[in-house]
Amino acid sequence: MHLLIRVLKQNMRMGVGAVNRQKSRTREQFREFWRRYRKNKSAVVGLIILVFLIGMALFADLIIPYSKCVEQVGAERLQLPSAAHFFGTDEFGRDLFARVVHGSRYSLFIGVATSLMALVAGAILGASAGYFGGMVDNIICRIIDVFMCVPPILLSLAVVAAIGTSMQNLIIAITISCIPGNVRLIRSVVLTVAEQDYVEVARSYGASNARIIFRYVLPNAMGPIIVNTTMAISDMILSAAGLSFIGMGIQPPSPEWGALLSAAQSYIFTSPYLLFFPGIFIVLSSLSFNLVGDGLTDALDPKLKN
Amino acid sequence: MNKVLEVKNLSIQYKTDLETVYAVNSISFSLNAGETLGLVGETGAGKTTTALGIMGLLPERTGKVPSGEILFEEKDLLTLKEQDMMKIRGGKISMIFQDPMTALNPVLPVGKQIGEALLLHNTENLSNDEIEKKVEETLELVGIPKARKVEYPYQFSGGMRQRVVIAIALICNPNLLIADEPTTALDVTIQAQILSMICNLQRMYKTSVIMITHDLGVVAETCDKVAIMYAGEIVEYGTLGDIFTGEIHHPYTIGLFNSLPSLTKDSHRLHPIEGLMPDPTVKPEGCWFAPRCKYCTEQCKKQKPPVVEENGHQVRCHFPVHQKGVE
Repeated sequence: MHLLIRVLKQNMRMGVGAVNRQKSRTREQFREFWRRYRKNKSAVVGLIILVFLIGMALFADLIIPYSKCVEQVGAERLQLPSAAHFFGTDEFGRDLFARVVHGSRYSLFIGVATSLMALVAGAILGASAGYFGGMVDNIICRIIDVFMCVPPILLSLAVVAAIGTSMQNLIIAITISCIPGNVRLIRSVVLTVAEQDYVEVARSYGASNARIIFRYVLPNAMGPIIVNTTMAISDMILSAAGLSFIGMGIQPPSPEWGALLSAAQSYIFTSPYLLFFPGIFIVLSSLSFNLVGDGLTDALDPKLKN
Repeated sequence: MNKVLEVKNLSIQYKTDLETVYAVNSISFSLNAGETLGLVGETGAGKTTTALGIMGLLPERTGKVPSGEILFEEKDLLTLKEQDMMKIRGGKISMIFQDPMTALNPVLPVGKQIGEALLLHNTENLSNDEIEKKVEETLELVGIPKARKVEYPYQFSGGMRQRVVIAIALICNPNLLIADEPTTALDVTIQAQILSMICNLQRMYKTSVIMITHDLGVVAETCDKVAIMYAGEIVEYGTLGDIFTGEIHHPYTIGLFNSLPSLTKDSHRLHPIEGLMPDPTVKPEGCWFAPRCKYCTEQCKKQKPPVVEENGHQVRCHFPVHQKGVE
C-alpha cells in the first residue's frame, strides 16, 4: 500500500515532460516485447483465440441478446444446428449458441478472477516463506501441507458444500484449492532468487525487506510465476466447469459451460452436439491461455533477450 | 584528524546447532577521514566477515557478535536499531561487492538500480528529474556514457558492470566505502582502471575506504594503512611504510611476500606458505600460526603471543622477525 502511494507521489512530482518521456519509453519496450512474442507462432495463435474469446465475452449482448438464452420454445426442442440456431437447441428449446456465447462470460471471469486472487495470496505467502525462512517458513509450509494432502477438486467441493452454491462461493472455493500449489511454487523460486548477490547488494544500500521482495525477488521469479498463472487460468476454467458439471457450481438456468455439459449428458447419444459445442469452447479457452502463457515467459524474460 | 571508523575488540562468530565458527577474533583498527585501510589475508581469514559485520549484514540466524564495538562517527553501529542502520547503509557506508556478474538485478535497467540507492536516502528531497540527473552524472563519473542508463545488466561486460556497482556505492557520497575484492573478478588492465578510478573518486570526495584484497600489489598501490589478517586475527597492523619497509614483521607477512613470484630473482619454483589455516571451529592453544611457522618454538605452541608495538606498528608474535623490509 505504502509502496503504491510512493509511486503515485512520484508520478505527481514528475511533471508532464517526464511523463511523456516515460510514455515513449514504455511504447518502445512494448514494441520490443511484441517483436519477441511474435517469434513464437503457437503463442500468436493462442493470442488470436484468446482475443476472439474475450471479444465474445465482452460483446455477448451485441452478438445475441441474453433473452435468447432463457427463452424456451417448446416446438423447437433438441434441434440440430441450422441457420436459425447455429449450435442447435437444448431439451427446453433454448438456443445453444446464445448459451455458449453468454457462458463465456462466466467461465472466463471465473478463470481469471480465481487465478489472480490465488496468485496474490500465493505471492504474499510464498515470498514471505521463502525470503524470511525459519519460523515463518515453517508455519506457512505446515499449513500448506495440510491443504496439499486434500485433492484440489475435493477441497473446493468441501468448501462449496460448507458455504453453499453460488457464483461467489464457487470463486472462493476454487481460489482456495489453487493457493497451496502457488505458495509452494513461489516459495521455491524465491528461495533461489533470495540467495543471489544482488539481493545482498540491495540490502547493502539500505533497501527494506518489502522493497527487496517486490522489486528484486519477485520480478526475478516472474518467469515461472507467469507461466503458472496463465496455466492456472485454464485449470480454473476446467475445475469451475467440473464443479458446475456435478451441480456444485453455477446453477441453471445460468449458461456456464460446465453446466451446459452437465445438462447435456443425458442426451449424449441422441444429440451429441449439445456436448460438442460447450466442450470445444472449454478446450479452446484452456488451450489459448496455455499457449499465451508460454509465449509470455519467452517474451518477458530479459535474461533470454536475443 | 577525526576518526571515521573505529573498531574495538570485534569478534564475530557463526553459530549453528553443530558448531561455532570463530570467524573474527577481537580485532581492532581505526580509520581517519580520507584514508584507505587494506585488509589482507588468504581466503577464510575473516576479511569479508569483518566487512559484513560493519555493514550489519551478517546472516541473521547464524551470525553473532559476542563482543566489541564498531564506532562510526562516534555511534556504535552494533547497538543501532535495524531502521537506523538502514539509513546508514548505502547513505553513509556503502559496499562494492566482489563479483560484478551477479551483483546487479537482471530485470532492472542499470540507471534505475543506481537511482534506487539515492531514492532510499533522499535526504535532500530531490525530485525524480534531479535524481535522474544525478544518476547520469554518476554514470559519467565512472566512465559509462549516460545514454546507457536504460540498458540492462546483461548488455554490459564485466568491467562495465563493476563500474555500475561502484556507481551504486558512490551515488550517495558515503563517508566510508568498503571495497570487497573489487577487482578479483576482472582482468589486469581493467583492474588498473577500476583501482585508479576508486582512488580518484576517493580523493574527490574525501571518502575513507576499506580495501579488502589478497593482492599485495593492490595494497601497495592504494592503501595508507594495512592490516594483515590470519585466522580471524590481525597479526600485523601498521602504515603502508611499516608493513613494506618496517623493522619488525610477523612471520606470516614475510611468508605472504615470499610467495609472490619475483621479477628480479631467478627462481624456478614459487614459495608458498606450507600447510593450511587452522580449523576455524576450534580455538587452539598458543599462536594460531605456529603449525605453519618456521620459527616456531615450544612457547609458541603453548602461549598466546602478545602484541608487540613499535610506533603504532603492531605485530602479534612472541618473536617478531627483525628484518628491514619484507623481502
